[in-house]
Amino acid sequence: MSCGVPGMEDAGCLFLFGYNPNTSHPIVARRVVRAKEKGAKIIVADPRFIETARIADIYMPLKNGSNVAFLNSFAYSIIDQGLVDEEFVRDHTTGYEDFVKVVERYAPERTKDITGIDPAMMNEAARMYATAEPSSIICWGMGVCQQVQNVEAVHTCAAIACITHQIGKPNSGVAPVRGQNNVQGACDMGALPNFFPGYQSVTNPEVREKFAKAWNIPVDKLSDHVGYKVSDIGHLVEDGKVHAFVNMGEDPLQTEPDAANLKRQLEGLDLFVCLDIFMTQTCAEADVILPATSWGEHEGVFTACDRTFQYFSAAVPPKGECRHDWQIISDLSTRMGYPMHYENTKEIWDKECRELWPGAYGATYEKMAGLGHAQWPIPTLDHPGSPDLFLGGKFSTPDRRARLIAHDFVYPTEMPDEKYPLVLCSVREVGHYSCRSMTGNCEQLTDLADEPGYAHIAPADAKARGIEHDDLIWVYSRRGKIITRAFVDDRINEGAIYMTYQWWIGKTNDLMLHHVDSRSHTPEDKYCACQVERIDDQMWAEEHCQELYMALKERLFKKADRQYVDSDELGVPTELDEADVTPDPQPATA
Amino acid sequence: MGSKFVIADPRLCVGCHSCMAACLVKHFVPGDVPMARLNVVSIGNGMTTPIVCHHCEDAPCAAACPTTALYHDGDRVAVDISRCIGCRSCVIACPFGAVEIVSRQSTARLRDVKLNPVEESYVIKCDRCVDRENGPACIEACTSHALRLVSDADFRQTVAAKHAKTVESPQSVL
Repeated sequence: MSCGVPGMEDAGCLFLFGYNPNTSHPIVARRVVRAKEKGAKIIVADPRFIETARIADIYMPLKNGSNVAFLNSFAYSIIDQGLVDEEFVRDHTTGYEDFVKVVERYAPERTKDITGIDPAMMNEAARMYATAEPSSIICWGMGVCQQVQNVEAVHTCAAIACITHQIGKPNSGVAPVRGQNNVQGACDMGALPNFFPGYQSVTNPEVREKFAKAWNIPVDKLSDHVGYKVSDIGHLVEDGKVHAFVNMGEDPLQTEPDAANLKRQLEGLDLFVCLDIFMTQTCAEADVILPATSWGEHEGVFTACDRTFQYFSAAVPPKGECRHDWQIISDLSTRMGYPMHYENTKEIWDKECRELWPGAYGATYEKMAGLGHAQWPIPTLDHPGSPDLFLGGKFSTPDRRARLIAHDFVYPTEMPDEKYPLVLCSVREVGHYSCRSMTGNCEQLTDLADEPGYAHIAPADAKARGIEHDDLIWVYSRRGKIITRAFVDDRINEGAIYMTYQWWIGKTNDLMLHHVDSRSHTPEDKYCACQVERIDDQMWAEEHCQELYMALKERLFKKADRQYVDSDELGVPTELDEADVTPDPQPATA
Repeated sequence: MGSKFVIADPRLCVGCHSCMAACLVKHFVPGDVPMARLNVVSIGNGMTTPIVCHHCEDAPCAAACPTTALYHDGDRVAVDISRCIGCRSCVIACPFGAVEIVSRQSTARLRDVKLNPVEESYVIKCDRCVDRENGPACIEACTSHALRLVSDADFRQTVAAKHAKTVESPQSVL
């Protein structure tokens, strides 16, 4: 993000584009409410009438999969109404002429059938965004990232901020909130195929030299090219390019599209290692499971989506054989020939992050103690941290100018047709988190919401299929067929079905198309074609659903139970055995 | 003495369901039914808000209850789930939809002999967390401060504020 999350409250206009903060980040949603109370204008562009749409000044019901056409028209409208900040464009950007050449083909009148947006509304929204004082922020979420034209849409969002000078000043610019907790931190620390910690490129020889020296290894031991992306793992195994996979705390058989096919592909691995805290569907396929610690058992540093480092401490010590991720990684590395040893997380933070990433040098554990925080860039010990980036229009390109880029619109990969007439879109809901390995194993939360979950369907689509609220239904696509419950929802658009990817029985990812874009390799989870059908025998369906759920739980329980059997066979005492042999300090009285 | 109850401001509610989770956790104890006593409802283009019991002074649910499973206890309408027979009179009587009846299977034991499981009915309604030290769990859990406990004193203040506003602009009542 180019601004801080707290700063969102002080913007003059928040433009929420493909972002539903109320279900993905309720704490950010609260900021949006406060911004509104302070007088900010709110624009929401989303196919669903999301919670924030209730308080929006303009709600724009764009059609699924039309992002780039929409944004091009939005930019067209800005230019057409003379709202471009020409001085800022001249002094701080490049590529404006080429940008205009693309967007001039996207007059709102010409795109209204693609986007579903009335040209007058497009003009009004563009004016509201471009003229807001003191600043505007474009916020986007997975509604932008999980589309076939994701990078293209991000380019256009950034360009729109630049041509209106709604970036490069406090509380302005672009706010791509993250899809998961600490995604920002994982990227910061170089858990990407193209970067070392601190976004230092693996293809840069000077950078490689620096890291080789710090890690005390010959420079040729460091790869000089960009590695693989996890969303490609299935194909890479199939093509014989990947033979071993160490999977840390992910459940791809739940969270990746076309999960059934991925399961088949992963069977081709020679070695499959999982680090996790629960027996998930993915762990059940692993050769080796290394028990890790949960959020309450470890300490470390998270980075929020606005670049804020926050220290968090352990509430309780690890149980049984569980070990921290960093201890497991150190041991794996040592056994693979590179001895790695750290005393604690502070040592890792200081040596691997602060020393090697100049922009984070000032973020000490002392600064983050208690409820403290540090927002990068924070290059020196006395630096206050940086809520806002690009102040004064100085961008992080070599010439310090923003590059304006526009793209032509391309339709989603799998369009609805006669056999699969509905759009299936994967979204979030508040009750559970991600693959549900954590929240699905929490009894109270499963009492609130449990299998098979819901597919949200518009009243007209439900009526046409004889479906009533809470009915069990089939949802099917070219990939598979699953059972779930219908949620007849008057806040969603006709022609689309919305499901969360968290349900193990009502498993959306058995239906989703596995298609990734060529740049970021992010799956197109927001769009594929599907059909929905009522199940006539509801009694049977209820029982069938329960049977599937019980069978899955039993399968995972049995897999998890093997840990006790194995340790018996090996003669390793389990916790219980140890307790049994501990001499009773009290003299027996009986 | 007027009753006190939890009220929601739909302008502040962000629909995060934290109140429901907190309520369920409060009732996640032996002998109780683990369910939320308030429900966040999102309807159409206008409203998202938790629906919660008003603890009416002349409570129709308590009046309709033939077994005093719902009864007046000082400034609230209290619940004794063990007395519920599942007749649903309260569900019909409540104008807010804040009362529910649920069935749960329970297995009674006669010494070591397990008896056949029987369906038992329970009335599910806000008890205002009177047995909770810090007051209603939902209010404490609300992320956007949309929930608060209101009493007669609050209403007197609100009415006084409205009076003042009316006097300032008398055309509104003329």
